[in-house]
Amino acid sequence: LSASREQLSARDDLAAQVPSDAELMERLKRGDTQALEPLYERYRGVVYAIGQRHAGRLNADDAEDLCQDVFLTLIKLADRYRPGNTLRGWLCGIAVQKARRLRQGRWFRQGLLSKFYRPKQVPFGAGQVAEQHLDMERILDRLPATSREIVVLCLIEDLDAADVAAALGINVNAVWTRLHRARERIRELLEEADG
Amino acid sequence: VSPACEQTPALLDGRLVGGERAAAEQHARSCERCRPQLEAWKRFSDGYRAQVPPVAKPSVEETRRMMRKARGLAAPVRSARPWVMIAAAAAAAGAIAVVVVGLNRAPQTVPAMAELADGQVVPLVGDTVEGVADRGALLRVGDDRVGVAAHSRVRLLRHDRERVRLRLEAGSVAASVNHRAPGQSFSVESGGFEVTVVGTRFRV
Repeated sequence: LSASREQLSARDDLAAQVPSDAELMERLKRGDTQALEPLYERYRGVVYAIGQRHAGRLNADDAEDLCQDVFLTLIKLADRYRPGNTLRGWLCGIAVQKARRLRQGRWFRQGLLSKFYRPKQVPFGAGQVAEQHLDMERILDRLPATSREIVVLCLIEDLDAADVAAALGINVNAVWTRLHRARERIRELLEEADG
Repeated sequence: VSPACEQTPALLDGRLVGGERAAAEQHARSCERCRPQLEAWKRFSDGYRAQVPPVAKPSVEETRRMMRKARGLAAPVRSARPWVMIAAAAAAAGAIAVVVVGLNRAPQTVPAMAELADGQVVPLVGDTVEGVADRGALLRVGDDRVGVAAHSRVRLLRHDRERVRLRLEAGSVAASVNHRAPGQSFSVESGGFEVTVVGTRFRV
Protein backbone atom coordinates (compact mmCIF):
# COMPACT_ATOMS: atom_id res chain seq x y z
CA LEU A 1 0.00 0.00 0.00
CA SER A 2 2.82 2.40 0.91
CA ALA A 3 4.60 1.52 -2.38
CA SER A 4 1.51 2.38 -4.45
CA ARG A 5 1.10 5.62 -2.43
CA GLU A 6 4.67 6.53 -3.37
CA GLN A 7 3.92 5.75 -7.01
CA LEU A 8 0.82 7.96 -6.95
CA SER A 9 2.74 10.75 -5.28
CA ALA A 10 5.54 10.45 -7.90
CA ARG A 11 2.91 10.62 -10.66
CA ASP A 12 1.40 13.76 -9.11
CA ASP A 13 4.87 15.34 -8.87
CA LEU A 14 5.47 14.52 -12.55
CA ALA A 15 2.09 16.01 -13.55
CA ALA A 16 2.91 19.15 -11.59
CA GLN A 17 6.20 19.47 -13.51
CA VAL A 18 4.52 19.32 -16.94
CA PRO A 19 3.59 22.90 -17.82
CA SER A 20 0.03 23.52 -19.02
CA ASP A 21 -0.82 25.03 -22.42
CA ALA A 22 -1.74 28.31 -20.72
CA GLU A 23 1.62 28.51 -18.92
CA LEU A 24 3.55 27.77 -22.09
CA MET A 25 1.53 30.34 -24.07
CA GLU A 26 2.22 32.92 -21.35
CA ARG A 27 5.96 32.28 -21.71
CA LEU A 28 5.64 32.48 -25.51
CA LYS A 29 3.90 35.86 -25.16
CA ARG A 30 6.88 37.12 -23.13
CA GLY A 31 9.20 36.14 -26.01
CA ASP A 32 10.50 32.85 -24.57
CA THR A 33 10.58 30.77 -27.79
CA GLN A 34 11.86 27.76 -25.84
CA ALA A 35 8.24 27.31 -24.69
CA LEU A 36 7.38 26.32 -28.25
CA GLU A 37 9.27 23.03 -28.05
CA PRO A 38 6.87 21.20 -25.67
CA LEU A 39 3.89 22.65 -27.60
CA TYR A 40 5.37 21.40 -30.86
CA GLU A 41 5.87 17.92 -29.44
CA ARG A 42 2.35 17.96 -27.95
CA TYR A 43 0.38 19.11 -31.00
CA ARG A 44 2.56 18.54 -34.03
CA GLY A 45 0.79 15.18 -34.71
CA VAL A 46 -2.68 16.63 -35.14
CA VAL A 47 -1.41 19.63 -37.14
CA TYR A 48 0.58 17.31 -39.42
CA ALA A 49 -2.45 15.09 -39.91
CA ILE A 50 -4.67 18.04 -40.86
CA GLY A 51 -2.10 19.23 -43.39
CA GLN A 52 -1.70 15.77 -44.82
CA ARG A 53 -5.41 14.97 -45.05
CA HIS A 54 -7.05 18.32 -45.58
CA ALA A 55 -4.71 19.90 -48.11
CA GLY A 56 -4.61 16.66 -50.09
CA ARG A 57 -1.84 14.13 -50.31
CA LEU A 58 1.17 16.20 -49.27
CA ASN A 59 4.62 14.71 -49.39
CA ALA A 60 6.56 14.54 -46.11
CA ASP A 61 8.58 17.73 -46.80
CA ASP A 62 5.48 19.81 -47.65
CA ALA A 63 3.64 18.49 -44.57
CA GLU A 64 6.63 19.39 -42.36
CA ASP A 65 6.79 22.88 -43.94
CA LEU A 66 3.09 23.37 -43.22
CA CYS A 67 3.56 22.25 -39.59
CA GLN A 68 6.43 24.65 -39.08
CA ASP A 69 4.46 27.46 -40.70
CA VAL A 70 1.57 26.81 -38.27
CA PHE A 71 3.80 26.86 -35.18
CA LEU A 72 5.70 29.95 -36.32
CA THR A 73 2.32 31.65 -36.79
CA LEU A 74 1.51 30.64 -33.21
CA ILE A 75 4.50 32.69 -32.01
CA LYS A 76 3.29 35.73 -33.96
CA LEU A 77 -0.30 35.36 -32.73
CA ALA A 78 0.55 34.41 -29.13
CA ASP A 79 -0.77 37.76 -27.86
CA ARG A 80 -4.25 36.91 -29.12
CA TYR A 81 -4.50 33.68 -27.15
CA ARG A 82 -6.86 33.84 -24.16
CA PRO A 83 -6.32 31.30 -21.33
CA GLY A 84 -9.38 29.09 -21.06
CA ASN A 85 -9.71 28.70 -24.82
CA THR A 86 -8.72 25.36 -26.27
CA LEU A 87 -5.23 25.70 -27.73
CA ARG A 88 -5.64 22.45 -29.63
CA GLY A 89 -8.74 23.81 -31.41
CA TRP A 90 -7.04 27.14 -32.04
CA LEU A 91 -3.98 25.47 -33.59
CA CYS A 92 -6.22 23.25 -35.70
CA GLY A 93 -7.95 26.42 -36.95
CA ILE A 94 -4.60 27.90 -38.07
CA ALA A 95 -3.71 24.59 -39.73
CA VAL A 96 -7.06 24.47 -41.56
CA GLN A 97 -6.59 28.04 -42.88
CA LYS A 98 -3.10 27.27 -44.15
CA ALA A 99 -4.15 23.94 -45.64
CA ARG A 100 -7.06 25.67 -47.44
CA ARG A 101 -4.67 28.19 -48.98
CA LEU A 102 -2.28 25.42 -50.01
CA ARG A 103 -5.07 23.40 -51.56
CA GLN A 104 -6.39 26.44 -53.42
CA GLY A 105 -2.91 27.24 -54.77
CA ARG A 106 -2.49 23.69 -56.00
CA TRP A 107 -5.96 23.81 -57.55
CA PHE A 108 -5.05 26.95 -59.57
CA ARG A 109 -1.75 25.42 -60.60
CA GLN A 110 -3.39 22.16 -61.67
CA GLY A 111 -6.11 24.11 -63.52
CA LEU A 112 -3.55 25.84 -65.69
CA LEU A 113 -1.35 22.81 -66.27
CA SER A 114 -4.30 20.53 -67.03
CA LYS A 115 -5.00 22.57 -70.18
CA PHE A 116 -1.65 21.31 -71.43
CA TYR A 117 -1.21 17.99 -69.71
CA ARG A 118 -3.87 15.44 -68.71
CA PRO A 119 -2.51 12.39 -66.85
CA LYS A 120 -4.34 9.13 -67.24
CA GLN A 121 -7.25 8.90 -64.75
CA VAL A 122 -7.77 5.78 -62.68
CA PRO A 123 -11.45 4.80 -63.06
CA PHE A 124 -13.59 5.29 -59.94
CA GLY A 125 -16.42 2.86 -59.45
CA ALA A 126 -17.73 -0.66 -59.30
CA GLY A 127 -14.52 -2.43 -60.36
CA GLN A 128 -12.73 -1.23 -57.26
CA VAL A 129 -15.50 -2.29 -54.89
CA ALA A 130 -15.41 -5.77 -56.33
CA GLU A 131 -11.71 -5.92 -55.52
CA GLN A 132 -12.34 -4.55 -52.00
CA HIS A 133 -9.93 -1.68 -52.66
CA LEU A 134 -12.29 1.27 -52.54
CA ASP A 135 -10.14 4.26 -51.76
CA MET A 136 -11.80 6.22 -48.95
CA GLU A 137 -9.54 9.20 -49.57
CA ARG A 138 -11.00 9.50 -53.04
CA ILE A 139 -14.49 9.54 -51.52
CA LEU A 140 -13.26 12.31 -49.24
CA ASP A 141 -11.85 14.23 -52.21
CA ARG A 142 -15.29 14.27 -53.80
CA LEU A 143 -16.97 15.94 -50.83
CA PRO A 144 -17.59 19.71 -50.80
CA ALA A 145 -14.87 21.62 -48.92
CA THR A 146 -16.98 22.29 -45.78
CA SER A 147 -17.99 18.63 -45.49
CA ARG A 148 -14.44 17.41 -46.06
CA GLU A 149 -13.12 19.71 -43.32
CA ILE A 150 -15.61 18.51 -40.77
CA VAL A 151 -15.06 14.82 -41.55
CA VAL A 152 -11.28 15.15 -41.44
CA LEU A 153 -11.35 17.01 -38.13
CA CYS A 154 -13.80 14.58 -36.50
CA LEU A 155 -11.95 11.48 -37.67
CA ILE A 156 -8.43 12.73 -36.90
CA GLU A 157 -7.54 11.61 -33.41
CA ASP A 158 -11.26 11.94 -32.63
CA LEU A 159 -11.18 15.71 -32.11
CA ASP A 160 -14.13 16.64 -29.90
CA ALA A 161 -16.90 18.96 -31.08
CA ALA A 162 -15.63 21.94 -29.04
CA ASP A 163 -12.18 21.72 -30.69
CA VAL A 164 -13.73 21.33 -34.14
CA ALA A 165 -15.99 24.34 -33.51
CA ALA A 166 -13.01 26.42 -32.30
CA ALA A 167 -10.96 25.37 -35.32
CA LEU A 168 -13.62 26.36 -37.83
CA GLY A 169 -14.96 29.39 -35.96
CA ILE A 170 -18.51 27.99 -35.80
CA ASN A 171 -20.75 26.86 -32.94
CA VAL A 172 -21.06 23.26 -31.78
CA ASN A 173 -24.58 22.84 -33.25
CA ALA A 174 -23.23 23.81 -36.67
CA VAL A 175 -20.60 21.06 -36.28
CA TRP A 176 -23.33 18.42 -35.84
CA THR A 177 -25.38 19.80 -38.74
CA ARG A 178 -22.40 19.78 -41.11
CA LEU A 179 -21.33 16.33 -39.98
CA HIS A 180 -24.85 15.01 -40.62
CA ARG A 181 -24.85 16.51 -44.12
CA ALA A 182 -21.40 15.06 -44.83
CA ARG A 183 -22.53 11.58 -43.75
CA GLU A 184 -25.50 11.74 -46.10
CA ARG A 185 -23.23 12.63 -49.03
CA ILE A 186 -20.76 9.88 -48.12
CA ARG A 187 -23.60 7.36 -48.14
CA GLU A 188 -24.65 8.53 -51.61
CA LEU A 189 -21.06 8.29 -52.90
CA LEU A 190 -20.64 4.79 -51.49
CA GLU A 191 -23.91 3.71 -53.14
CA GLU A 192 -22.74 5.27 -56.40
CA ALA A 193 -19.43 3.40 -56.18
CA ASP A 194 -21.25 0.14 -55.46
CA GLY A 195 -23.20 0.68 -58.69
CA VAL B 1 -40.03 7.99 -38.38
CA SER B 2 -40.07 6.66 -34.83
CA PRO B 3 -38.71 8.70 -31.86
CA ALA B 4 -35.89 6.15 -31.65
CA CYS B 5 -34.79 7.12 -35.20
CA GLU B 6 -34.13 10.64 -33.99
CA GLN B 7 -31.33 9.30 -31.77
CA THR B 8 -29.41 7.81 -34.70
CA PRO B 9 -27.55 11.02 -35.76
CA ALA B 10 -26.42 11.50 -32.13
CA LEU B 11 -25.23 7.88 -32.07
CA LEU B 12 -23.19 8.37 -35.25
CA ASP B 13 -21.78 11.64 -33.90
CA GLY B 14 -20.52 9.74 -30.85
CA ARG B 15 -22.57 11.88 -28.48
CA LEU B 16 -24.33 9.05 -26.65
CA VAL B 17 -22.93 7.01 -23.76
CA GLY B 18 -23.94 4.05 -21.60
CA GLY B 19 -27.53 2.79 -21.79
CA GLU B 20 -28.63 5.44 -24.27
CA ARG B 21 -25.90 4.41 -26.66
CA ALA B 22 -26.70 0.68 -26.34
CA ALA B 23 -30.43 1.32 -26.96
CA ALA B 24 -29.75 3.54 -29.98
CA GLU B 25 -27.34 0.97 -31.43
CA GLN B 26 -29.87 -1.83 -31.01
CA HIS B 27 -32.52 0.26 -32.74
CA ALA B 28 -30.21 1.33 -35.63
CA ARG B 29 -29.28 -2.30 -36.35
CA SER B 30 -32.89 -3.40 -36.66
CA CYS B 31 -34.46 -0.28 -38.29
CA GLU B 32 -34.66 -0.31 -42.10
CA ARG B 33 -34.25 3.45 -42.24
CA CYS B 34 -31.31 3.77 -39.82
CA ARG B 35 -29.34 0.61 -40.69
CA PRO B 36 -28.00 1.91 -44.06
CA GLN B 37 -26.82 5.12 -42.34
CA LEU B 38 -25.03 3.15 -39.61
CA GLU B 39 -23.42 0.73 -42.07
CA ALA B 40 -22.29 3.41 -44.53
CA TRP B 41 -20.67 5.55 -41.82
CA LYS B 42 -19.00 2.53 -40.21
CA ARG B 43 -17.71 1.35 -43.58
CA PHE B 44 -16.30 4.78 -44.40
CA SER B 45 -14.78 5.60 -41.01
CA ASP B 46 -13.25 2.13 -40.51
CA GLY B 47 -11.93 2.12 -44.09
CA TYR B 48 -10.53 5.64 -43.76
CA ARG B 49 -8.79 4.93 -40.46
CA ALA B 50 -7.33 1.70 -41.88
CA GLN B 51 -5.99 3.49 -44.97
CA VAL B 52 -4.48 6.48 -43.20
CA PRO B 53 -1.36 5.55 -41.25
CA PRO B 54 -0.94 7.14 -37.80
CA VAL B 55 1.32 10.18 -37.70
CA ALA B 56 4.72 9.44 -36.19
CA LYS B 57 6.22 11.66 -33.46
CA PRO B 58 8.54 14.37 -34.76
CA SER B 59 12.16 13.30 -34.98
CA VAL B 60 14.77 15.09 -32.85
CA GLU B 61 16.21 16.62 -36.03
CA GLU B 62 12.78 17.94 -37.12
CA THR B 63 12.20 19.54 -33.71
CA ARG B 64 15.67 21.14 -33.91
CA ARG B 65 14.90 22.57 -37.36
CA MET B 66 11.65 23.98 -35.98
CA MET B 67 13.35 25.55 -32.96
CA ARG B 68 16.09 27.12 -35.12
CA LYS B 69 13.38 28.85 -37.17
CA ALA B 70 11.51 29.88 -34.00
CA ARG B 71 14.63 31.46 -32.53
CA GLY B 72 15.08 33.38 -35.79
CA LEU B 73 11.65 34.96 -35.20
CA ALA B 74 12.42 36.04 -31.63
CA ALA B 75 12.97 39.72 -30.90
CA PRO B 76 16.67 40.70 -30.78
CA VAL B 77 18.04 40.99 -27.25
CA ARG B 78 19.93 44.21 -26.40
CA SER B 79 23.50 43.55 -25.41
CA ALA B 80 25.21 45.23 -22.50
CA ARG B 81 28.39 45.43 -24.62
CA PRO B 82 27.49 46.76 -28.11
CA TRP B 83 31.09 46.50 -29.43
CA VAL B 84 30.99 42.70 -28.87
CA MET B 85 27.83 42.49 -31.01
CA ILE B 86 29.37 44.69 -33.73
CA ALA B 87 32.48 42.49 -33.87
CA ALA B 88 30.32 39.34 -33.95
CA ALA B 89 28.14 40.81 -36.75
CA ALA B 90 31.23 41.71 -38.78
CA ALA B 91 32.59 38.18 -38.36
CA ALA B 92 29.20 36.68 -39.36
CA ALA B 93 29.02 38.91 -42.46
CA GLY B 94 32.47 37.73 -43.49
CA ALA B 95 31.41 34.11 -43.07
CA ILE B 96 28.21 34.65 -45.12
CA ALA B 97 30.20 36.34 -47.91
CA VAL B 98 32.50 33.33 -48.10
CA VAL B 99 29.56 30.92 -48.27
CA VAL B 100 27.78 32.96 -50.99
CA VAL B 101 30.95 33.18 -53.08
CA GLY B 102 31.37 29.44 -52.65
CA LEU B 103 27.83 28.77 -53.84
CA ASN B 104 28.26 31.07 -56.82
CA ARG B 105 31.29 29.16 -57.94
CA ALA B 106 29.56 25.80 -57.88
CA PRO B 107 25.74 26.09 -58.30
CA GLN B 108 23.93 22.97 -57.20
CA THR B 109 21.80 21.13 -59.74
CA VAL B 110 18.02 21.21 -59.33
CA PRO B 111 16.47 17.77 -59.89
CA ALA B 112 14.56 17.53 -63.18
CA MET B 113 11.89 14.88 -63.76
CA ALA B 114 9.50 14.22 -66.63
CA GLU B 115 5.98 12.91 -66.04
CA LEU B 116 4.82 10.85 -68.98
CA ALA B 117 1.32 10.45 -70.40
CA ASP B 118 0.70 7.21 -68.46
CA GLY B 119 1.41 9.00 -65.17
CA GLN B 120 4.88 7.45 -64.77
CA VAL B 121 7.54 9.83 -63.42
CA VAL B 122 11.09 9.32 -64.69
CA PRO B 123 14.33 11.22 -64.04
CA LEU B 124 15.16 13.41 -67.01
CA VAL B 125 18.19 11.74 -68.51
CA GLY B 126 18.36 13.62 -71.80
CA ASP B 127 17.34 17.26 -72.20
CA THR B 128 14.23 17.02 -74.35
CA VAL B 129 10.63 16.49 -73.26
CA GLU B 130 7.98 15.82 -75.89
CA GLY B 131 4.23 16.18 -75.38
CA VAL B 132 2.64 12.95 -76.49
CA ALA B 133 -0.50 13.24 -78.65
CA ASP B 134 -3.73 13.89 -76.69
CA ARG B 135 -2.20 13.98 -73.21
CA GLY B 136 0.96 16.11 -73.34
CA ALA B 137 3.69 15.76 -70.70
CA LEU B 138 4.77 17.42 -67.49
CA LEU B 139 8.28 18.64 -66.73
CA ARG B 140 9.21 19.07 -63.06
CA VAL B 141 12.30 21.16 -62.39
CA GLY B 142 12.73 21.30 -58.62
CA ASP B 143 9.43 22.75 -57.35
CA ASP B 144 8.52 24.34 -60.70
CA ARG B 145 6.14 22.70 -63.16
CA VAL B 146 5.98 23.04 -66.95
CA GLY B 147 3.01 21.56 -68.82
CA VAL B 148 4.09 20.54 -72.31
CA ALA B 149 1.10 20.52 -74.69
CA ALA B 150 0.40 17.63 -77.03
CA HIS B 151 2.73 17.53 -80.08
CA SER B 152 5.11 20.02 -78.41
CA ARG B 153 8.82 19.75 -77.76
CA VAL B 154 10.86 21.59 -75.13
CA ARG B 155 14.61 21.39 -74.42
CA LEU B 156 16.07 21.98 -70.95
CA LEU B 157 19.19 24.08 -71.58
CA ARG B 158 20.20 24.76 -67.99
CA HIS B 159 18.85 23.87 -64.57
CA ASP B 160 20.66 24.84 -61.39
CA ARG B 161 19.92 26.92 -58.28
CA GLU B 162 20.52 30.19 -60.13
CA ARG B 163 18.88 29.65 -63.43
CA VAL B 164 16.40 27.43 -65.21
CA ARG B 165 16.43 27.95 -68.97
CA LEU B 166 14.19 26.20 -71.49
CA ARG B 167 13.98 26.35 -75.27
CA LEU B 168 10.57 25.72 -76.82
CA GLU B 169 11.24 24.02 -80.15
CA ALA B 170 7.64 23.26 -81.17
CA GLY B 171 4.10 23.78 -79.85
CA SER B 172 3.31 25.49 -76.54
CA VAL B 173 4.01 25.21 -72.81
CA ALA B 174 2.46 26.54 -69.59
CA ALA B 175 4.74 27.16 -66.62
CA SER B 176 3.89 27.39 -62.93
CA VAL B 177 6.98 28.80 -61.29
CA ASN B 178 7.85 29.60 -57.68
CA HIS B 179 8.95 33.06 -56.60
CA ARG B 180 12.60 33.74 -57.58
CA ALA B 181 15.10 35.31 -55.24
CA PRO B 182 17.24 38.18 -56.59
CA GLY B 183 19.90 36.76 -58.88
CA GLN B 184 17.78 33.75 -59.83
CA SER B 185 15.72 33.43 -63.00
CA PHE B 186 13.43 31.13 -64.93
CA SER B 187 13.18 31.71 -68.68
CA VAL B 188 11.76 30.15 -71.82
CA GLU B 189 13.15 31.09 -75.23
CA SER B 190 11.38 30.51 -78.52
CA GLY B 191 11.62 31.90 -82.07
CA GLY B 192 14.30 34.42 -81.14
CA PHE B 193 12.41 35.74 -78.08
CA GLU B 194 13.09 35.00 -74.42
CA VAL B 195 10.38 35.13 -71.74
CA THR B 196 11.74 35.59 -68.22
CA VAL B 197 9.47 35.01 -65.26
CA VAL B 198 8.02 38.06 -63.50
CA GLY B 199 4.90 36.43 -62.05
CA THR B 200 4.27 32.86 -61.09
CA ARG B 201 2.22 31.52 -64.04
CA PHE B 202 2.67 32.15 -67.74
CA ARG B 203 2.19 30.59 -71.15
CA VAL B 204 4.43 30.56 -74.20
